[in-house]
Amino acid sequence: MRSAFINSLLKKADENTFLMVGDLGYSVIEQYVGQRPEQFLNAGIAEQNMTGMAAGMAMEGFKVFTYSIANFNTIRCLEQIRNDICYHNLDVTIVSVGGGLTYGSAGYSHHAVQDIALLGSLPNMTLLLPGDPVEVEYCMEYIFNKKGPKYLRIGKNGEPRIHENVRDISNITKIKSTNDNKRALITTSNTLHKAIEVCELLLKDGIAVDLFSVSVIDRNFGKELNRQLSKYQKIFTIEEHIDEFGFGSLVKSRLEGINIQSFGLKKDLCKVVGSQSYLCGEHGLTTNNIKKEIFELVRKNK
Amino acid sequence: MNDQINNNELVNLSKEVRKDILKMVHASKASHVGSAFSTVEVLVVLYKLILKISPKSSTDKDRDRFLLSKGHACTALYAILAELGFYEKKLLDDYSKDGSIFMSHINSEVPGVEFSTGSLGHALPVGVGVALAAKKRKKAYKTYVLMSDGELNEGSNWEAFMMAAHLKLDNLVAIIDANKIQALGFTKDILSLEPIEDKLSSFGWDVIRTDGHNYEQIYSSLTSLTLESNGKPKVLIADTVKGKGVSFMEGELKWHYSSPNDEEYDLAVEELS
Repeated sequence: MRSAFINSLLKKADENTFLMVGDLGYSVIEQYVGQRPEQFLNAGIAEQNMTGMAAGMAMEGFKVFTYSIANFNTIRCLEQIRNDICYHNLDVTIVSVGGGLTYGSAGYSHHAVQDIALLGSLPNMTLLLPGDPVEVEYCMEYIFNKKGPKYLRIGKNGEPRIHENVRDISNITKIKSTNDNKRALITTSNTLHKAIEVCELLLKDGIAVDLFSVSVIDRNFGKELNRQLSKYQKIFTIEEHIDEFGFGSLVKSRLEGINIQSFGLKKDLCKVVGSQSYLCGEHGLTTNNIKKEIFELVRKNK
Repeated sequence: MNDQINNNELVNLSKEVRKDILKMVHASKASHVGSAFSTVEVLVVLYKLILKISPKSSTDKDRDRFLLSKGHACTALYAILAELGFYEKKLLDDYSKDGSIFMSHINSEVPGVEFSTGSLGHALPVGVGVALAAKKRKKAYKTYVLMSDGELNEGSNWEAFMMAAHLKLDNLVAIIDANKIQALGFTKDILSLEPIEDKLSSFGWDVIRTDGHNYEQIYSSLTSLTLESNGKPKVLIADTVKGKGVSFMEGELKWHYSSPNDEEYDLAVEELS
C-alpha cells in the first residue's frame, strides 16, 4: 500500500502539492523528491512543528501531505491537527504508515491502534482507510478531488491486491455477495484480506456472509452505510484497532436496530514483543478465531 | 518614525484600545486584561506603521500576515481591528456573549483575524509554514507572529525556531511580548528563559530587544530587523509590563485572570481618559 500511495502521489501531484515527512520514508519518497525537490521538506523529528507548518502552507493554498509512521504524525501532534488543521478546515492529508499492529515487533510505541477513534472524532476530518493497493488509489483520487482535513491510514507494503480496478470501488464496496442478505461482514483498513479468508472459511461450513470494505468515512458515511447495509439481520465488523470507540462502535452507532458484533483489539496492554500475527493472536483477532466465533453465534441463533 | 503619524495619534489610539479592552472584559467577566494591555503599543505600531494590511486588503494575496499566538490577548486585537475599521466598533459589545464569533481566545471568524489560537505554542509553527509558502511562491509579504514569553515553555516553539532558521526564512518576524508573568507567577521562577537573546541568537535568529511600550523603539527595531534579507528569521523581544496603562493593574498577577468590578472599571477608565 505504501508504494501505491507514493506512485499515486507522483501521478497526481501538481504545482500546489507539497509533501512533508517527519524524517521517515526511506526507499519510499526518493522518486518524488527527485521529481519535485521544491515541493518537498524533511521537517525533521518534530511533528508538532511539521503539522503547524502544514496548516500554514495550506492556508496559502498548498495541498499538503504530512508523512510519517505509527503515531508520530497523529497522536504526537493531535492538538495541532485539531486546532490548526481541523478548526480552520485546511487541506492537509496526514499519511501514516503502519496502521494497526503492522509494526508489531517494534513495540507498543509503534502500534497505531487508537487512531481511528481519535482522528475520527475531529471536525471536518475524513478518514481514508484503504485495504489494498487499489483502494489506496481510490483514496488518492478522493484526496485530490476534495479539499479539507484527511487522514490516510496505510498498512505497509506487499498487501495482496483484492480489487481488479479502481472503478470497482466506492466509499463502501461490496466485495462478496451471497444472495442471502441475512449476514454481512464489514472490514476497514488493513483487515480486508483477513475478512476475505473468514468469509471463505464460513462458506465452506455452509454459512453465507456478504463482505463489505469501508475505505472512506466522510460526512455521508452513515447515510451510505444505511443504504447498503440496513437490510441485513446480523452484521459483523473487523478492525485492527481498539474495539472500544473504534470502527465497530461507529458502525453500531450508525445502524440502528441491527444486531452487530465487532471484532477488534482489546484495550489491555500487551507488554511482550511479537509480530503482527502473533499480537493479533493475543487479541483473538485471527482468521480462525473470528470464523469460529461467527460460526457459533450463527448456529446458536438458528 | 513615519512622519505622517505623530506620537499623539499613537498615544490616543492606544488609550482607545485599552478602553475598549476594559469595556469588553468588564462586561463579560472574561479577562486576561493584563496580557492584553502589555501588547497594546506593539499592536498599535504594527497596525498603524508596519503591516501592509487594511480593511480593504484583508484578503489580498500580497497583504502581510499577522498571527496572534497568545490568543488570550484577543481583546487587544479585536479592539484595534475595530478602531481601524475592519468592522463596526459596536460589535465589540458581543465579546464573549453566547452565539458571538468574538471568542475569548482569538477567532479567525472575525474579519481581519488570520488564525485562531488559544492553546499556546501553535502560531509560530503555522507562521513558519506561511512564510515558507511566501518563499515558494516568491511573494513579498512578511509574516508576523506575536507570542508571549510564558508561551516559550512550549517545545513546539523551539522546533519552529530551529526550522525557521534552517529554512532561512528572513520573511518571518516573531515578536515576544516579554511581560515576565505567566499564569501562576513570574516566568523567571516557573521556567526561566534568560538569557533569551543569546538563546535565540544561537538558534540563528536576528534578535533585537527593546522597550515594548515605546513607539519609536518598537518601530525602529522592526524596521531595522526587516530591512535586511540576510537569510535569518527576525525576533523582537519587547520588554513589557503586564497590565500596562492602569496603575493598579501593572505587574500584578491577579490581572492575568481577574476582570475589573464596577469600581475598578471606573477607576481604570478615569486613568486612561
